Amino acid sequence: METFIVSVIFIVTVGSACIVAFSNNLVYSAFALIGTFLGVAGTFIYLNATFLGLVQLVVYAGGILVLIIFAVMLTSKINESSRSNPGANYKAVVPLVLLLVLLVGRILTRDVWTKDLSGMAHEPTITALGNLLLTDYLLPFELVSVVLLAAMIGAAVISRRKVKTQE
Amino acid sequence: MTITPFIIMAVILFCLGIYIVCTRVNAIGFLLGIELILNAASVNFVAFARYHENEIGGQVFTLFIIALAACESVIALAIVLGVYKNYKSINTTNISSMKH
Repeated sequence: METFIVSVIFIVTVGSACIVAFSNNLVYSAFALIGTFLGVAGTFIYLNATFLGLVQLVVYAGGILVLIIFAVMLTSKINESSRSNPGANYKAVVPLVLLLVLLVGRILTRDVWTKDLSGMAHEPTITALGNLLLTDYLLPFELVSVVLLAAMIGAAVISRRKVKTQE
Repeated sequence: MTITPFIIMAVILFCLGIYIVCTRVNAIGFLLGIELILNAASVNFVAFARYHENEIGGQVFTLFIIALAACESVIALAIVLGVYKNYKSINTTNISSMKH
C-alpha cells in the first residue's frame, strides 16, 4: 500500500513536470504545474509535514498558480498559443542528461540513506514548528515578513499606471 | 520504504527546472522552471528532516522557501507585465535593452 502511494505521488509529480518542461503550449505548461504542486504537497504530507503540505496547497496551487495563469492569459495571443512556449538552445540537454544519470546512479548505487521510514512515529510537527519559528528562527522569520512587504510594495510600484498630473 | 524515491524525484525536478531555464524563450515559461527548482529544494529539505526524526529545522526552511518563492513570482510577473506593455512581446530574445 505504501509503495503504491509513493509511486502514485512520484508518477504524478514527474509526469506533470515533464509536461511543464516539454510542452510547446504555455497554457498547457502552466496548468500542468498544478500536478507538480499537488504531488509535492502529497510528498510533504507523506513525510509527516502535514502543515507544510497544506501551506504548499494554499500558497502554490491557490496563489502562485492563479497569478501565473493570469499573466499567461494577459500576455500571450490566443492564435499563437499552440507555439507560445518554444524551446531554443537544445545543446543544453546533453550535460543535463549526464548530470541526471550521474546523480541518480550515485544515489542508487551507494546505499547511504538506509533508515526505514515506516517504523517512525507520526506525530504532528506543527507545535514544534511554531516554537522554533518564534525562538531559534525569530530573526529570519521577521526578515521574511519584511521581504514580503517589500515585494508587495515593489509589485504595486512596477505595475501601476503613470498618472498625469494636471499643471 | 526509505527516502530514496523522494530524493530521486527531487533530482529529476531539479534537472527539468534547469532544462527549462536553459532552453525556454518565453519569460513566463522561464519562471515555471524556477518554481520547479525551488520545489525540488523544499522536497529535499522535508525528506531529510523526516530522515533525522526530531529535526524540524528542515521544515522551517521549507516555510521560508515557500514565502520567498511567492515574493519572487509576484515581482517577476510584475516585471513581465511591464515588459509586455513596452515591447508587446515577452520573448527573452527580443528584449535587448534595459531602457525603452
